[in-house]
Amino acid sequence: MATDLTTTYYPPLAEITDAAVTDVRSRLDTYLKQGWPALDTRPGSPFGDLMLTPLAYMVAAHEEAIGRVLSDLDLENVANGTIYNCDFVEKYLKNFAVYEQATLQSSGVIRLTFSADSTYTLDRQLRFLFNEDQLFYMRLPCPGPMTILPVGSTPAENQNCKVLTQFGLDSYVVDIPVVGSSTAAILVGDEPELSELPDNLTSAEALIDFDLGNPPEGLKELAKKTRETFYSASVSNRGGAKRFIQKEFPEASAVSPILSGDAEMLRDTVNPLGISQGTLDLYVKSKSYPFQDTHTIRLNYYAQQQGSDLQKFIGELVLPEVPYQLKTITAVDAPDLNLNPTGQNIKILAQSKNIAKAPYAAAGYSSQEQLWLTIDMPFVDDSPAIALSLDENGQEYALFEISYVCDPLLGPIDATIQSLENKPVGVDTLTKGFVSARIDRFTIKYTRKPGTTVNLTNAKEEIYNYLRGLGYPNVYSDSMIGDIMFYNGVEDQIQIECIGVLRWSVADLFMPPDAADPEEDYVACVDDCREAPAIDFVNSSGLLLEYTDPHIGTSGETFCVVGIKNIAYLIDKDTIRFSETYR
Amino acid sequence: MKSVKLSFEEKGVQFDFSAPVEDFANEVQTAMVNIATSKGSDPINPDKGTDLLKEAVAGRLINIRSAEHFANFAALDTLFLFRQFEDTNDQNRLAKVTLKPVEFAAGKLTLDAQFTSASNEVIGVLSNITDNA
Repeated sequence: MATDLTTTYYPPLAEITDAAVTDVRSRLDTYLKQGWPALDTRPGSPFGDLMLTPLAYMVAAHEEAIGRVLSDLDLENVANGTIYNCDFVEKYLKNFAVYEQATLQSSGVIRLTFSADSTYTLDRQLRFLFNEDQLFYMRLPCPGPMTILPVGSTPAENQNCKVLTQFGLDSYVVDIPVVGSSTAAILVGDEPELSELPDNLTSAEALIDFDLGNPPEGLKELAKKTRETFYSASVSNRGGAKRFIQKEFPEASAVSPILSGDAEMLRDTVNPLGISQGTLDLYVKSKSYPFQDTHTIRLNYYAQQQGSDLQKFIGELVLPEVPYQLKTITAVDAPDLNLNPTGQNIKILAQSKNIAKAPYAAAGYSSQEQLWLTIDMPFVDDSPAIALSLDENGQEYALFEISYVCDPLLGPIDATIQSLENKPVGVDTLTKGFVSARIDRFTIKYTRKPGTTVNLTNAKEEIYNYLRGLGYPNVYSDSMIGDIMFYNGVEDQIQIECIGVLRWSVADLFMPPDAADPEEDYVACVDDCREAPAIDFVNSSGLLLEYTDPHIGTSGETFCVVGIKNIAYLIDKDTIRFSETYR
Repeated sequence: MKSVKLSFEEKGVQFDFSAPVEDFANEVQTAMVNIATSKGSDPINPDKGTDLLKEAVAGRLINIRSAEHFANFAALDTLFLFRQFEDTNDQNRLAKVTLKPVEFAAGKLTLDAQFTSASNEVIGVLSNITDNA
């Protein structure tokens, strides 16, 4: 079907400039003279005035129309908001599998709870239905069904596998990433209907607020995404990895690939032939970050070990998601007890599951890190403050409720990158969360013009969202804080007081691969451990810390490294405070 | 050069498709059209036309001497316009334009027009008016 250029791309006649028409007329005259040199085309001649001049207007309009068609094909122009024919551009973007706003994939995570610790097979066609018309299906990076394995199992490589985590006495959970189409919000706790009910399933609910998948704007944002994703196909280079993740996971808010040779890369090695082996650390963060989850774990109690008093709870810290920070620890039987996760009586030990791939701190905030939690038994009047239970093997234990911060997107991205279809050849890839700078206090001192009001509520919200959303290439800047304060009514920003600590793991101690099992010989284990560095900072320059393990290559190496490309911030809204200074 | 022939008649200008107008006759036809065209009426050719009609409508042609004055300007404007497009090797190019008022009555000005080519071909006649006063 022909396109009516006069109504879609032609400019109004009045918009065609005299200079443009004069230029076109001159070119047409030169062109015609090749065939008709004797034809009088001058102004005042019948052909010149009655044919050539009106034709010059038509050709000028047509040339402008062609320019506009070419502009609609140039996605840079479309991404900047210059669109002449929306219908054409919409159809054009579909060639790049970029869909209309209403059907762009939504994504989220569903937590399934089972009453028995067993193996379950979820058919690939399993569907989750929210609100009667919002259909989701499992995000499966590998062929075949989703296999859910009992607690403590080792998932098979190149298969869709997940391992149950014990949530309660008869309660076992697993988090399943899903994708689908949705135009309405799906919130935490929303319960879907399942097309097929697995055995022993007791509940299914949304773990996080789902990302709707809609772009903030229509064609302009779609074109921007197309330009960013069209030219990449591979995870094996920086740009390709970034665009692959952004295309597959639109809910990712920050993606920072670190390659061999970058300052933030310490994992790369040189083989005996002296050839550097390719490594890629993929730091990711989602819009759901930081997500707070709560989980109950069992810790065995050891009054003695190796003939000496110990009086500690020790156990593997197995949580549904990789923890970025432990917020609270509560003994289920003694909820009023103050168990401070950062206190001296609580220690977290970490050991890399694969020392060659992810040694020590390199495994931090990734699925490669195995964690143990140890808690000193608190005593009140010389009596243990936490009641102990006894299992069938005579082992004493207690249950603890752990509230922790995580990013539910980390697991799905890791599974996708490690799948056979996407795993880059010859590149050792590790998916992990950004190195966390936890901000404990963020106080802004400011002045205000007399008679004006400052919208501190709005400023706090904006500063919180700004800090929470940062991740390379979006780097922290004091001036952004200043802008936020200025636009909320402040006259002058005097000072930013920023106190916090940077950590490469939730762990306090890194266990070497040959360390003793802490549940058999805790003292020997700790003796073998090396301390996990933590850097305190007292001003906002700490938010742009650069640090490289000075012990690298020695027996005390921890592989801690941080720079602007792999740092992100953990902050609670309540830590943002304001202090007005009076002149 | 050649063009569609225009027939200048009492009731107006008519297209005559019986035969084209060529060479110097074509130049004369275009020149006559230009003399009667108001300058500025063509936005992409600001030099096209003359001010003769505009001045007449504005009432500045108060007598035959002023009519002669504006007629001379019209002739020069036409010649200068043609110079912008002429081929200096073309012997049929316009070399001289003469406009002479011969009758000036209320509401009407009659002009004699004579056009001379580079090869001295002349089209048009100039009347001789005798003042018997």
